[in-house]
Amino acid sequence: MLFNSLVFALFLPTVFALYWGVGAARWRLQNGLLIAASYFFYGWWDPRFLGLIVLSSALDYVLGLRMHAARDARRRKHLLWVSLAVNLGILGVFKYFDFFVESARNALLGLGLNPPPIALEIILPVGISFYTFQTLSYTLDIYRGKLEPVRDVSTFFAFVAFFPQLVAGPIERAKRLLPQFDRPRQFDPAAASDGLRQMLWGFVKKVIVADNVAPYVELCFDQHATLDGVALFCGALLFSVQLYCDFSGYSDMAIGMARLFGITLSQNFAYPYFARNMREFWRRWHISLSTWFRDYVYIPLGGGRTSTRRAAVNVLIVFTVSGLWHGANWTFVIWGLLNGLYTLPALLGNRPVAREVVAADRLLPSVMELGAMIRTVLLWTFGLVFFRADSLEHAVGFLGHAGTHLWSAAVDHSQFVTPLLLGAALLTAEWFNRDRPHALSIEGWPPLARRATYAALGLALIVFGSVQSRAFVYFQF
Amino acid sequence: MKAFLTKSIAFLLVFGLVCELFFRVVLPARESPLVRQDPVTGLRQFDPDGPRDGLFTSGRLAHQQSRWHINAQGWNSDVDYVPDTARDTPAIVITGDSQIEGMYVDPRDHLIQRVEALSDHRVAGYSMAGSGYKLGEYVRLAAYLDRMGIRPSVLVLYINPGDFWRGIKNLAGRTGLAPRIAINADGSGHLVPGGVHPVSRIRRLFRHSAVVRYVVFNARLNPFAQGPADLAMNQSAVDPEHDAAENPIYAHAFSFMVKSIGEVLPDTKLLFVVDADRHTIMAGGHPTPIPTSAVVKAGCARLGCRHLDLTAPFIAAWRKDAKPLHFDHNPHWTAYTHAVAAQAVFDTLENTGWMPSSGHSRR
Repeated sequence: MLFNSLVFALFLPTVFALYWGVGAARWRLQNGLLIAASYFFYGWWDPRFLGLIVLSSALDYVLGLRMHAARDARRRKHLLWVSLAVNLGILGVFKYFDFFVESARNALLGLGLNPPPIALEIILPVGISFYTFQTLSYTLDIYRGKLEPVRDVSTFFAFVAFFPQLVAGPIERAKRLLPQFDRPRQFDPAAASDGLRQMLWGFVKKVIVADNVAPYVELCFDQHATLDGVALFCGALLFSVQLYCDFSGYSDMAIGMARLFGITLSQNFAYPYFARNMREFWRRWHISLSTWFRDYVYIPLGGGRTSTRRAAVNVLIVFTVSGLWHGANWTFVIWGLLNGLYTLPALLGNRPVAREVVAADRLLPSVMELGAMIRTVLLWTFGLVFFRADSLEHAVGFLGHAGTHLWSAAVDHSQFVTPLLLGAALLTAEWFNRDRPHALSIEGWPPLARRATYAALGLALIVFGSVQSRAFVYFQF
Repeated sequence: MKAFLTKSIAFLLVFGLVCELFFRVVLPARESPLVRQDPVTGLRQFDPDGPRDGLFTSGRLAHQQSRWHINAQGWNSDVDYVPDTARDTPAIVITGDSQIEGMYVDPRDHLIQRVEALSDHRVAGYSMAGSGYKLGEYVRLAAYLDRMGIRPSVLVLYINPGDFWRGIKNLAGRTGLAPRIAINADGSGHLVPGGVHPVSRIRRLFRHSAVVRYVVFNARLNPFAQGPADLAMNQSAVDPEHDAAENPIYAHAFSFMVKSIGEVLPDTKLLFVVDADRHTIMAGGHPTPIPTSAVVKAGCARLGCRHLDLTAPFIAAWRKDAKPLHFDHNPHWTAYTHAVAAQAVFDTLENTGWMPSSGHSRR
């Protein structure tokens, strides 16, 4: 079920009414309702894969309790390995089996051997990478003694399956989200209002910008050989707009929606296109995944507290694995590696990562800041060619064609003006609220101005929203 | 919670009112006449007891706008249609689907009005068409004309890609309610009556909301906009009529249609006007006629009717004026295309001697 679909427009108010209708005191019943609604939400896409969520939830619930009860460190480790093996095993079979087998086969073919082709061709369950990482954070934190296991079954199952963030995050830490399901929740009108604002902004990003830009991106990537370098540059730039608006739009909707249920999710995007270098960028893009890798992969590897060379290797490992998390394709590996390389200069130069927003207390950035932001977006956009391409050959063909056919009078470049302006307009709107949790944080505005803004955006959604209900890009991961 | 819900609902109500106003004044939503079925023949037409005038718009910015007027007989025309006995000039009637229904142009720009003007009003031009009309409805129209006392000197029948396929195939949904031509084993045919189009009170109620009309028609956000038949047609990688020239069922259906009309209107001459691949023409190409054009051409040679393929006139018009032959957001003819088609129809009628030389030629 897509957030931007008619059926969801009926689903959400129904769940909201039932959830608060049972009363905040009966929070376990609320959890049960959320679990049922979440399974219905997920099953709408394909009920067969509900079993995986149930299995993952049940296993980690039991393992968490046993791990906590075990006094023997070896037993705790064994239990953790069971959790890792089952969760990553499911992920491996459904997401990576064909990729690794095919890659191994290609390597053997290169050595002159002729192994038979093996492919399971299993459908990738939506959101498997998201909920697997979320539930893994639970067992990992219990193993590390940072979290007490939860006793209430409904709490844990609601934590894993909570529908606003089930299929595309934010990937929540058990430590942050679990306690919220393990106690009564009070309806907070201010939080709910802000949640609705954030949802509205998410819809604007997804339905008006991302979905309207998508056809131009498809044109450039599907027919790159018929276009020139300028058009392909526009296409790649538009993909960076599409991906940001699609994914951060989803996150805005998820976070806003969760607030309607009295749940606070983590900020997942913090205006990444206003970052001044790639290290800062990765503190602002898909924050919940970046911090997951930081806490569970980078720091256990030694993090930055080792030699500079070792730290650089750790960064490259983390980014490569992060690339692979996005998809079972060498294109994602290269994309991850590229982003790792991008962040190395700042790491090796031991430059501190800027934590404050760019041009704080000023309306406009300095020329230096603007240059740094543009450089960061261009580096990111270059990497995204690998992210968007179907294969390495496709990516190389795209870049090669762009480099060797810079300009052709036969190509209609004017078609890219409107979508680029759309992206620019959105980023301009975000610029003015770049120090706020989301771009529509306008609670301080006069009531009339606020309501006029909501009405204008609502009208814009009706008039300019894309006709097709396109699935979110990150669902595939 | 109560305050939150009250505020939210109040905002939604005000927002709804703002939207209503916006889609009535700033971006006017499409107004459509109501549809009814003729109580005797079952032919679909507009309801003259419903709204008679309106503004038809399409596109998100409502950039295509045309007015419509439903005459006393239930057709989109500025003039009322009268029986032969009440008229001094012979009638030429045209029928077809939404292209001929002509909601996308003002009634005065309609093909048949232009034919009437070109003939210097030697004939009365009547348009009796409906969105999605199929071959079976053309047969039904003959019975309707007979009942109305209108026996045209020429009946012009418009053929669009898919008309034959939809006219023969047993389709589900609303599309399947139209009468269908069924072909028997010996090549003869019979008309399967189809069903009664349900009058949805909810539809009639929602018609009063400009927001609903805008969302359904202008923004095309209606998830039920396409019926199963249209989806099957549009999603098919192969044109279902691609084998029309070789598949005898198409020829049989055509023969059945012509003979059935002839039985009811024996003195009426039939002119079939076949649309062209306008996309290819406007892309600078030189398209071949649509597959069913050959069926019509062969059938007319056999049965004595006339065949006019619009491919050549449209190519000539595009090369001469380079004006769009349909709207950029939908495939319906512009007023210019109606004019080009009208000239082609008029020339054909003149060349065949089917156009009366002077008025007052009541049969």
